Amino acid sequence: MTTIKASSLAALLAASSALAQSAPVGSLQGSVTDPQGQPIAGAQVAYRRRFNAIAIGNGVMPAPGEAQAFGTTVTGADGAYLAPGLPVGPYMLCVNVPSAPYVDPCAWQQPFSATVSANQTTPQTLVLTKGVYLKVRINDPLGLLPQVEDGAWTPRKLIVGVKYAEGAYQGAENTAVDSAGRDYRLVLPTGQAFWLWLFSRDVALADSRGAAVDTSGSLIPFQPVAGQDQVFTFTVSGPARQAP
Amino acid sequence: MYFNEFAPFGLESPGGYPIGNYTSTGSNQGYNCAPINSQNFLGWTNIFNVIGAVLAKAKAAGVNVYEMGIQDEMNTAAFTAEERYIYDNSMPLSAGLPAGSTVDVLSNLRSLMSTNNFDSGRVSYAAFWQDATVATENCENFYTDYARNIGLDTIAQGISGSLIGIGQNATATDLLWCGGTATAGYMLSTPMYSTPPDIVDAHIYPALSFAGSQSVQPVAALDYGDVVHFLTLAGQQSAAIVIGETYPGTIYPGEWGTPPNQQYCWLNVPSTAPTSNVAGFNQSSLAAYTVVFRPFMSLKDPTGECFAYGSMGPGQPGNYQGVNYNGNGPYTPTHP
Repeated sequence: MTTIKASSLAALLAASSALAQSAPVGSLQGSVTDPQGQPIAGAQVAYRRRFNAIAIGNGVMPAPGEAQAFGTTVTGADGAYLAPGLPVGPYMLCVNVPSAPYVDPCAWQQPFSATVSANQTTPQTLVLTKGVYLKVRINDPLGLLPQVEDGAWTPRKLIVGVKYAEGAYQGAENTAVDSAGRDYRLVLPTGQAFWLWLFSRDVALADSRGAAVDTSGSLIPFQPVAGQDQVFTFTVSGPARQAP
Repeated sequence: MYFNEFAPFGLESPGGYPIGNYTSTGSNQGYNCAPINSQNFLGWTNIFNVIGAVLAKAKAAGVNVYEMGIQDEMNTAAFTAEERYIYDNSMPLSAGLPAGSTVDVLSNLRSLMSTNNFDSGRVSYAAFWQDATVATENCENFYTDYARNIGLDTIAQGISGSLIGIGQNATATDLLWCGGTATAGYMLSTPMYSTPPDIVDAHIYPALSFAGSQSVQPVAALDYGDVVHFLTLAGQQSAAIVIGETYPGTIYPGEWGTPPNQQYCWLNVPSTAPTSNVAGFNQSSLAAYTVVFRPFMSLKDPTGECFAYGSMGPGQPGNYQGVNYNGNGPYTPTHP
């Protein structure tokens, strides 16, 4: 359904034209640290300008003329980052640290926020808490799972993740596939309860003792402890008994 | 914020979009952060019971159910909370499941169809369509599909247990989401997966966005060709294909009007739009498929003016587009 009216467009385009003529810019600068203030090197700081949106039927898009700016910058040894030449406005920032289990606020809380002002450098220190890795290994001696990593158009036969809070869910990323099975990984914050989530319509799983695991959405409780990766191993024991 | 009976999440006021949507938060976490509608949601058990009763009546009357959908033009790209219409992480108690469970809404609906001897694969979620402001604009999105297909893409991904939301570093270009990557962590992963439906339903009004009187035929050729690209990527070439809303056979242009006399028969497009639409379709590769077109109904009164498409529901004062000629029912999907 298309709801925006043509008469509205002229005003939007006029506003966008005015914006394009001025186009002031500023910078974001700061550092990424842990809660003790220690710098985190190699952190990927992804920034994106938030935008005013227009409704187009049941879709929404940035309004015409809204400046779009995004990118990623990596911190140096001193944890510092700089994103120069940004259109003014509100920004959201996510931080991913490939080498250590720091918690990305974009996945677990709200993104960091900052506002870029014209001809100014906005200081923004990004403090990350350290979590732990959830590592799940699925042995597949029968070769019943796909031999390719999960992708947008690859059919799933198994989903691994965690439940927390009131039904919230985070999926673990399939990081590797080999001839003997599949690996999944997710960074978890510590100090809260989780339930491991395993879901499959295609295969049955057994735990390390050989006991059958409910794959209709099992909820295996655990609580991560700081400094200790949470590791689970399961084995595909055969096809699912009944395809729903 | 407010709640309505049909949505298992809170809605923004004003606007009516699900809480936690991408444009308000810059995040794809709406599925997790939208508040549970514990206020007045009808509850999945009640909804399933009603749908089951309707299907049973249809079966008893010998009526075929060609397609069933519970959410029109679902947009799990901008509103990941709408994934709860497929797999609901928030309302397990309303389906008799323990807290922390996920209600497999799609599978429940499929079971109801099967129970009543209808094709369970015909449970679908109709897709919105995204046209551009440039007729020839056609970029690749973060799912490696054509950007115009984003409505179809996000529904397919939401059903198949993949990632939903807006891709990382995607750019809105001429009203299309171009580029970017489908990145775990940035986008939202879904807790369940199901087989693809046997039906693909897109609501397509080919035209330049904001300039509906132009380029219907070439845009139609592009739009319908893009659908074929989606069918191939999603492995749904054998699905029934429905253009669930498109230009009706008779269109009355130039009726935008001004309040309080605002009246319009849907889009402000020329009366040639339907024939141009069909001509564009015939030029596209989708013409090789069997496709059902369902034109949107627009009614005009005897003076040639369109009946108002009011904000109240069908049959309510001021709304004559969802009912028959005099607003007295029963529903008759024909022009006066």
